[in-house]
Amino acid sequence: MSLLPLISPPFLVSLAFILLFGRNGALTHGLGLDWSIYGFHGIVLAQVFTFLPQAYILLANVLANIDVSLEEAAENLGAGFGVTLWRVTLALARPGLASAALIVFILCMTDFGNPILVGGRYNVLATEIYSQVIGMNDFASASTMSVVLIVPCLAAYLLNAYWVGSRSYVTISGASRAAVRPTPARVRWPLFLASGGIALFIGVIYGLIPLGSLVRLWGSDWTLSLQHYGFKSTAEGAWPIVNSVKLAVVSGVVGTALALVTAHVIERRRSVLGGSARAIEFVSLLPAALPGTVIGVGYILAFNVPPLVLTGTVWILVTSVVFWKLPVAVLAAVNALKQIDPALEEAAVSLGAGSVRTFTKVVLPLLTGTVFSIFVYFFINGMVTVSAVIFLIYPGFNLGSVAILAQVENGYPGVACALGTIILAIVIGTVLVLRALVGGDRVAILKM
Amino acid sequence: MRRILPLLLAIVLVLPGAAPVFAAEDKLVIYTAYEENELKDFWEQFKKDLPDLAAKASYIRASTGPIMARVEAERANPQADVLWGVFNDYLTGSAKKGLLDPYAAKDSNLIAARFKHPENAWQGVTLLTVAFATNQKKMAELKLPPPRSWADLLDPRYKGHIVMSNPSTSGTAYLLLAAHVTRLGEDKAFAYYDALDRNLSQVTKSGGAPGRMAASGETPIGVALAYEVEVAKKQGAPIDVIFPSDGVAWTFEGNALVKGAKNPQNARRFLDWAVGRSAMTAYAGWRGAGITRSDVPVSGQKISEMNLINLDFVKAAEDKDRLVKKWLEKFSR
Repeated sequence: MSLLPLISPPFLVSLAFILLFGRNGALTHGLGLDWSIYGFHGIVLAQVFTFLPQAYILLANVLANIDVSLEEAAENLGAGFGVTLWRVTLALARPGLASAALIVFILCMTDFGNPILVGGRYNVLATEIYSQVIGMNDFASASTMSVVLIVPCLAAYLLNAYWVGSRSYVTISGASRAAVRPTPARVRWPLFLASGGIALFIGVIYGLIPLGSLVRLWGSDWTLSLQHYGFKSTAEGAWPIVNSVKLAVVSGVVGTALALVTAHVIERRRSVLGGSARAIEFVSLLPAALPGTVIGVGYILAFNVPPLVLTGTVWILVTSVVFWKLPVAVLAAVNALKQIDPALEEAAVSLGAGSVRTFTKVVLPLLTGTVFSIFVYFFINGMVTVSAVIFLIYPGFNLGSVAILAQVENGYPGVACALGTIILAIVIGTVLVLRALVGGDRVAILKM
Repeated sequence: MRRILPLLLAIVLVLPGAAPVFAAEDKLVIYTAYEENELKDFWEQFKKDLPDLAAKASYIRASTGPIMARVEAERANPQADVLWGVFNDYLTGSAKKGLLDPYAAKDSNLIAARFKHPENAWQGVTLLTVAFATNQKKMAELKLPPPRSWADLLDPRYKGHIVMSNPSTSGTAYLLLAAHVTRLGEDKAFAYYDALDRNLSQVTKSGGAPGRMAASGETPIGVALAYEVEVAKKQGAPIDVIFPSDGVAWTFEGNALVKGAKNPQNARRFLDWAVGRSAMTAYAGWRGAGITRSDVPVSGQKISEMNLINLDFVKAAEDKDRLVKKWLEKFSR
C-alpha cells in the first residue's frame, strides 16, 4: 500500500488531494469546511505522501535484514521492549533512517510538481527554476539557481554521513537468521491502527483515479460511464503506455545493475579507496539534487552533440531515468551491503572464487530482496516519470505519463484518469507477478 | 578488451542518432503545441491532403514553454524541422535568438500583416481569446452576479472567488498583462493588478488551471482561454464564457521553419499546407472565427463583434522580461 504513491504520475497525487481537500473537494466542501489545501501545509501533506515510498523502500529493506537473534539476545539480558527497540533495532536501522531522511529532504528541495499544484501562493526554489526554463527559456538563471539548490543538499549529505559514521551495522553473518518475531501485543494494535490509517488514506487517494476515470465529469456529472476509455480526445489513444512499459523494463534492468555495482564499489572498496569512495557516493546522489526540468534540458545540451549523440533514441530516456533515479537505488543497496558480513565474501575469495564470482554467487543471492526492490523502483519510475522525459521523448515515441499530462492540460481529467488507471493496473500486475516469482517473503517491499 | 568495450558501446549508441544526418529527406519532424483534441483533427486533414508527406512525418506535442525550451537546447544540432501552432511571443523571441529560418509560405500573402513577422520568420494561423469562465453552480450557491467587465472584477463581493494564472509561467497570463498595459498604460495597469490582487484566491503557475478549476467548481470565476471553456462545456461542465466588455485580450499561434532543419524541403511543403485553405478550414472546426485568414468562411461568434484590445505583439515580446520581472517583484511572495 505504501508503494502506491510511487505508482501514479507525481502530479496525480496533488490532483487527488485537490479532489479531496480543494475548495470544491469531496471532504472540504462535503463537510462545509472553510479550509483548503492550498499553501505551505498543502505542500507538506502532499510531499509526505508522495515521497513515502522512497523512505519505505530504504527502511523496509534494512529492517527486514536485521538479525532477530540480536534483539532476542538483548531481551535475554534483561532489556525491556523500549530499550531493545531504541538501543538495538533502531540503532541497527540507523543507515536506513538516515538515508530515508536524506533522500526525502533532497527530493522535497527539488520537486516542483506538487508545489505548483497545491502551493497556492507559497513559492519554492524548484518552481522558480521551472519558471525560468519554461516561462522565460532562461537557462543561465535556471542553472545558477540549481547550483544554489545543491548547497543545502550537500549539507544534508554531510550531516547524514556524520550521523551514520563508520560503525558496523552488520546483521547478516554466517550464523544469522531472519525470522519474523511476534510483535508484543501492547504495541501491536496501536501500530496496526497507525499503519492501517495511513494505508486507508492512500487507498482512498488512489481509488479516486479509477473512480475519476469512470464518472462522466468530476464535480458536476457523476453518472458512471466507460466513455473515457475510448480515448477520443487523443490521436495516439493509449498506445504511448506501450512505450512506457519498454522504457520501464530497460531502465529497470540497466538501473538495477548499475546501482548494485556502484554500491558494491562504494561499500566494499571503502578501505582501499578511502576518501574517493565517499566522493563516488556523493556523486551518485547528486542527480537527486536537481529538478527534473534541469535534468531534461541538461541531457539535451549534453547528448545532442558529438561525441555522444543520444537525442532521438530510446537511450537518452533510459540514461536519464537511470541516473536521475539512481540515488535511492544506490542508498538502498549500500544499506543492504552494510548489513552483510564481509567475512562471507572473504570466505568465498579465500576458497578461490574471483571477485566477479564472489559477487554473483555470494553477494547477489543475499541481496535478492534488495535487487527486486530496486528493480521495482526503476520500473515504476520508468512508467510514471514526467518532468525530465518531456524534453527527451522523440517523434513516434511518446510516453504514457506525458500523455496523461497532455490530457490534464487539455481539460480532459476523465481521460487522464483512464490512462492513469491503466498504468496503475500494469504496475500492480507486475509487482504481483514478481512477488509470485521471487516469493514475497524474501522481498521486504513486496510484503503486503 | 576492457578498454574497447566502452568504445564499442559508445559507437552502438551514437549510430542510431547520427544516421539521419546522412539520409536523404525521408522525414519531417514537427514540434507542435496544439492541444491533443484539435491536433487529432488537424492531423487527419493533413493525412488526407498530403498522404505522401504525412507518411514521412511525425510530431512531438507539448505546451509552448517546454517545446521552445527544447528547440533552444537543441540548437547545436536541431531535431525539429517545423514549429506548428506555438505562441507568437515565443516565436518572436526565438526569431531574435536566431533559432528560425525565414520562409514566406505560399498563400501567406492572404494573412493580414499584423499576424506575420515583418521578415517572415513566422506566420500566424490561429487565434485565442481570454475570457471569464464562470461556474454556474458555484455562482448560484454564492449568489454572485456574473462579472461583465474587468472593472466588475474589482467589486469586493468577488473577494476570494477569482483565480488567475502567473505571467512568468503562463503565456495566457503574460498576454493578459501586456493587454492591460496596452489598454490602461503601464502605471494604471499595475494599479489595476494591485486592486485585483485583493480579490484573487489563487495565482496558478499553469495557464490552463483557472479554466479547469472553474470547470470542476474549485473556483466560481477563472480567467481562462475561451477555447478551454468550450472544451469543458462540451464535456458537460456547468460553465459559461463571458467576454469582458471593456476589452478582450487575445493572441495567436503560428508556424516557423527551424534554422538548420534536416529536412527543409519537406518542412516548406508542410508550411505551405499549414496556411492553406484546407488547413484553415480544419482550424476553424475547433476555433470558430479564430483563424488569421479572412477569406475562409467560419462559424461562431465573430471576432469582429468583440472589443479586441489592439495589442502590439512585437512590442509585447520585447517588453516581456521587464514586465514579468516587475510583476514578480510586486506580486510574488
